[in-house]
Amino acid sequence: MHTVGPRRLRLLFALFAVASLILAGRLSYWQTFGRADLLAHATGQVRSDLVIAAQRGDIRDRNGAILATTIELRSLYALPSRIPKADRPRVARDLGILLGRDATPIRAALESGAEWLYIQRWLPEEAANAIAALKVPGLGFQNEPKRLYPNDAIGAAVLGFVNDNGAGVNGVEGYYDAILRGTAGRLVVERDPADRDLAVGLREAVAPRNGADLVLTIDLVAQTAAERELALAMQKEHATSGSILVVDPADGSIRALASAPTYDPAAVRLADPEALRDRAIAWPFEPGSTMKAVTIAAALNEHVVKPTDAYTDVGYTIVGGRKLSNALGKAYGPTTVTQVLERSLNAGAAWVGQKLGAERLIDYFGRFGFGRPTGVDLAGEASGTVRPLAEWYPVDVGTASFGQGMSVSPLQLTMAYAALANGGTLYRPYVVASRRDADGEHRTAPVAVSQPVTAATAATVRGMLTSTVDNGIAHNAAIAGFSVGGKTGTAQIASQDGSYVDDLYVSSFAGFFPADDPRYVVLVVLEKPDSRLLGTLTATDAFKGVAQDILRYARIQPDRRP
Amino acid sequence: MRAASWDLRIFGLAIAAILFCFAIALVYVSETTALSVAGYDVQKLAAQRDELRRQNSLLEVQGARLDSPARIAADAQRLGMVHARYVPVIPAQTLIAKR
Repeated sequence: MHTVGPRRLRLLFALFAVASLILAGRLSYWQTFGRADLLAHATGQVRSDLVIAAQRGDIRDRNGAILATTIELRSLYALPSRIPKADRPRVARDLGILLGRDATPIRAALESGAEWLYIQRWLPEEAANAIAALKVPGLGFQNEPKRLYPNDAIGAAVLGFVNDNGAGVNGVEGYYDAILRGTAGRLVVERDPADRDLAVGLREAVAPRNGADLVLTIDLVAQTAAERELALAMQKEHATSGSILVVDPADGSIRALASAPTYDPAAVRLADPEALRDRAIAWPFEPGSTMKAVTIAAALNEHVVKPTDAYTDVGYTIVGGRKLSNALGKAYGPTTVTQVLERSLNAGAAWVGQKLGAERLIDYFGRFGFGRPTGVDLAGEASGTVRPLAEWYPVDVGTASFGQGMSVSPLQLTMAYAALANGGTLYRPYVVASRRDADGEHRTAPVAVSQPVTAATAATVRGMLTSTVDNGIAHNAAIAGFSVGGKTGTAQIASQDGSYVDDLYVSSFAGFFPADDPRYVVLVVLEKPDSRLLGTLTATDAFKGVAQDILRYARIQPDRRP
Repeated sequence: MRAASWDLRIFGLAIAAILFCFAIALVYVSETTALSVAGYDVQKLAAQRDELRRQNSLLEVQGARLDSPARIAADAQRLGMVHARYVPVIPAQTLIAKR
């Protein structure tokens, strides 16, 4: 029987023992003194520290239609060195055809010697699929978030846009940027050489908090009607700018807000910088005759006049030593306060203004929200100007009575008319009805800012404005089967030196319907219409176009015999 | 002779211990590999899920584009239709009174 000698066995044992000791010593070293270095070295090779972008919240209209959303689109990149030289002209040609672009710059990019470059970012799905089917080595896709606006330019002024850095600018995107943006998360993982996560490796994750979704008060149908009518009016009048606002007087919610010139929020780079200004909130203009309703409401509320009070109209009046004339200088003889609105008489408004007095007139301008921002939840609002009493000349009580020497934004004027339409309550306008985030839905509560006039005064003015449409200067705004109230406005445009520019006007119409129980207030403003003094006809046409669409869509029953 | 037999037993035990450790290591490695493979599968499925979500979002946007009143109006215009500026509405009370 063959046996292993004890000496050999001991030698083998000693060998194992020594090897084990060395190994144990080495292991002990790496597990104690050398552990930190080793760990840092190893982790550095496989560890990947990623920022997980938060998804920007969606914006929807009051009925849930998507107005803005963020989607990951595929961006095409190239690793030119991996595309065989001989194939590059063919690849550039194919890409040019599929991307609808000139192939020359694509070929130049492939020949540029760059290690990695984008060929085109945010491809349409069809183009991305077609390029993927080519299976060209050296071409790849990377998903990148892109803000999409499915209705193109519709609602651009109210939505705003997102710039290349992912920050919201203007409109809802700008005002609610922090809420829409969310908070980025973090993911620390170990990855294998193929850049795949290791399931058994280190994993630390802080989940991103996605941005909240916003539901607007905007109604896409009303918005589309407003944009269409504004575009038609602008085209007809070659106006330099314009705005249409639709507001629910019951709570101050904005149902439509159109501004022209406009832009496509998905292609802001191509837009005229002037188009980015939201005329509805950031365009202080001299309101002209639409302010007569405010002056008369103030005078009625202070009981200094009644609708039936009369004066003799001679075509002008003298205030502070200056002659203030009616439009075209026409004299009407005995005229009631109601007829001042029906005929839009400057002399009559100045007569009412003088009875009220400058101090109370300014006070009521403030009560109706003029001279300060409305507080609407949109970025970039202008406040307009109402000069303080100390800066007024004696004539100003007359001119301010018919809307001269002051500036208002279209939104301020709309809200003042909304106050007259709803029984005398001035609401803060708003466009975000609710926001939905991880904690649930948060609804916006309407905010009543003040009660500038009593319900009785508001009802009286509503009746007078209805008469203005039925029997007066705003007859073009009448809609068969429905009661409509409103007032036209024509104002000259002030130049930098304070004088008025000849033959250039701002035409407007502010109205509400149905006049007996107003559901909507609509304001149309056009800057420098070709028709000049007759620009109000186009404004009333636009008002009617919007109103008729809304009446049909909202299924509002006629309140009059057609 | 007895000492040699004892040494042999010790040697056998050492070999057995090494084999046992090897087996344990083998099981550990195979389990880890299986876990890694499962991890890759999870990643593939997660990527598939993300792609389906992306496709779903794209379809939602496409739906919103198709539903857009402005697009419908433009298409209607292309088909030769015109926007009705005025649509007469008959008050419901009138109809009720006639019944």
